[in-house]
Amino acid sequence: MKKFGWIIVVAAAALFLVYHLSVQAQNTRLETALANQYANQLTTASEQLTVLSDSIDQTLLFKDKAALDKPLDDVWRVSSDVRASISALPIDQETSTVWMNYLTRIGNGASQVKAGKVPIEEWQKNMTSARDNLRSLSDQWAFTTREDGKKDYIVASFVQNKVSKENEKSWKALGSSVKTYTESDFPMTASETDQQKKKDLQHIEDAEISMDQVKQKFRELFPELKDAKLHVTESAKDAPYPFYHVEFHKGIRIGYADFTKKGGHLLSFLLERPFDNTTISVEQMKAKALKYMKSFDYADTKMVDFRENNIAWHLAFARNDAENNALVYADGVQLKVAKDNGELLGLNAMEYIQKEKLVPQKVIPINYDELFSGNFTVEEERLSYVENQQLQQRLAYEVLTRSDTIGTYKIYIDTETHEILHSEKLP
Amino acid sequence: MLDFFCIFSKNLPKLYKKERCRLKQIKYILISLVICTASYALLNQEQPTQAFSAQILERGAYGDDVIELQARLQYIGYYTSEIDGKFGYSTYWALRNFQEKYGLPVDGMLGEKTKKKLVNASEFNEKFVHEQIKKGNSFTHYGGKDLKAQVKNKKPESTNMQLPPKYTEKDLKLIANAVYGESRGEPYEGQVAVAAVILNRVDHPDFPNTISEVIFQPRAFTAVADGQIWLEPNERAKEAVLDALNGWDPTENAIYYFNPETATSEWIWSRPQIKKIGQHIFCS
Repeated sequence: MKKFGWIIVVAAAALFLVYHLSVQAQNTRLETALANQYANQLTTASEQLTVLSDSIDQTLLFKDKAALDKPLDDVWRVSSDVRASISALPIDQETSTVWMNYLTRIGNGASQVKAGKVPIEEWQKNMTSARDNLRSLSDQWAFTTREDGKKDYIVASFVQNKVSKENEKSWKALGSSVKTYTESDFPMTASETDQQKKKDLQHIEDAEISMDQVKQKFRELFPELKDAKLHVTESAKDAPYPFYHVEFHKGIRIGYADFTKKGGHLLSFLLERPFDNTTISVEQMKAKALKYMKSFDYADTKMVDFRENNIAWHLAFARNDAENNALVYADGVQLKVAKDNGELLGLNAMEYIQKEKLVPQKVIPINYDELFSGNFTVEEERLSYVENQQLQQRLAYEVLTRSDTIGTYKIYIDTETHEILHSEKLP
Repeated sequence: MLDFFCIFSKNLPKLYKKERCRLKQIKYILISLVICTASYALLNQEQPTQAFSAQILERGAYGDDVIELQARLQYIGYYTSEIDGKFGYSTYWALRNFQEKYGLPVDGMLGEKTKKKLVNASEFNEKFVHEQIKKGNSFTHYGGKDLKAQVKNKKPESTNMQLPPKYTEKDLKLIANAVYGESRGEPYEGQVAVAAVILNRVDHPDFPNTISEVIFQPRAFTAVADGQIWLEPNERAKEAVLDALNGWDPTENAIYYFNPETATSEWIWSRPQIKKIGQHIFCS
């Protein structure tokens, strides 16, 4: 009888332990789900605040009414999105109200300027400080982690507040408030309407090359890796376009290069190896990069940008159209060059393989004084091709303009319609 | 010194002695002048080595020399942005303004002549500047003001990487966390591939339009579901993301990937496969 009693006690203890552990695991899962939900909301709000600040910056660039319409619309629309994001965050009522009112004023202000009820000069004067406030809040809410893989302070405190408000028993109820997702939430079909030119590679009409030929091609293009150990595989049969995947290994160097099966065009190449602390000069780096471009037969390109980072330089090239000396950014090539000795670490030529079809276009002179607000000065101008909203390549005035307070912008203006095709803030 | 020579020449006639002393005086003055001039010239020539390295800097550069350039330009009021070691447009315009003001060729490049002028015109408190950067403080380095009073609060976390204009450091940080959580055991190519899938999803009409929404889309990434997204990414993961942000896509435009050894979903096998990198199969 005593023995039986012991068995019952031990069984009950084991059951309790299993139950406790299972509840703990469930709580941890729920806590992680809750943290993910809050992190998503917070990061989304942060991203939207940056977008809003960028949209406000665009309204400071122009004084031309037509050029201002879209950025003002963007401010109105994005301010409404940010309000929705902030209202979903579990921040205290006072902070939430202050920010909601502020964003409402910004949104209303933009629509009033667009309607001509408020002069643009007044808006531009007030918005200079608003953009700083928005950026500052965006930085505070950006995704961040603590040491040891712990969650962000704000997210952790949101979760903690939620947990303390509900007692242990109501975890079950809490579970239902955090949406549980099933496979039905996955997008089940991928859209086939993607018009990116990457997929157009299936229309290459060059003759197919064999596996041996691709090995030969690799050795020709990368002579310093000619004695590397190669492992070549072919793309899966469902791949949008057939290609060869060449994996190589030579001493401390390891990497890959992809080639199209039709024509054996180099798609991309990346090499990884340890790095020394030495640094070659910018002139040496540029000379090496130009040498690489020539050896790969990309001689019709121009270097448009280069950025130094910890171990390498990333360089961007664009094709230079011989007809009108305009840059075609869509036909671009990117290089990665090692800082320690200028070795080629990467090349991406996917976009260069098939050239954009360019149609003749009128070039009507433009008066920048009428377009840009007084704070901005035009520093440089050249011609380039960029995509419009209908995904057509349009010839554009590429204008580098700057303001000491707002920053430097590259604006692309259609040479024929004078529509603002694209603008980007430069770091 | 001159008197010393004069005292020991007392046997010579008085006039001759006086003349010789004067000649000696002139001789020593001339020698001193030559030594002073040579020393000054030497010191002046050595000055650049006390400051910047021998590299010529231009837009796109990054590192300690750029930190010094920004700090020196700020010291004399030409540079008003953050001292971050990234030679972007704000540094470029500030340098051009300095060159114009000081009668130098205006090219926005920091060559030897500009370095020399800048070093003479400004000061650089290297210890202060590097200490603030190391601590992650927001600070300025204006001349004529107490440096301690120019230190503000902690600035937002930064990865110290120069990105294409389309992306922000916040994007890099978030994707690096996802890549590290998802594929830290994978080859480098596999890590670039995971980052590329995230970016391909942002551009794809069937997925959300922002990086954070793509990453936190429920059940999209294992690292989010099991909390590994909160692990601090290493430099390799950040470098892989940097390559993806710069355009590399080893997946050839994939929008899904899975590990065939651990995948529990039957549906994922129905996706058209493109290639296998490391343990992951990439699909469209």
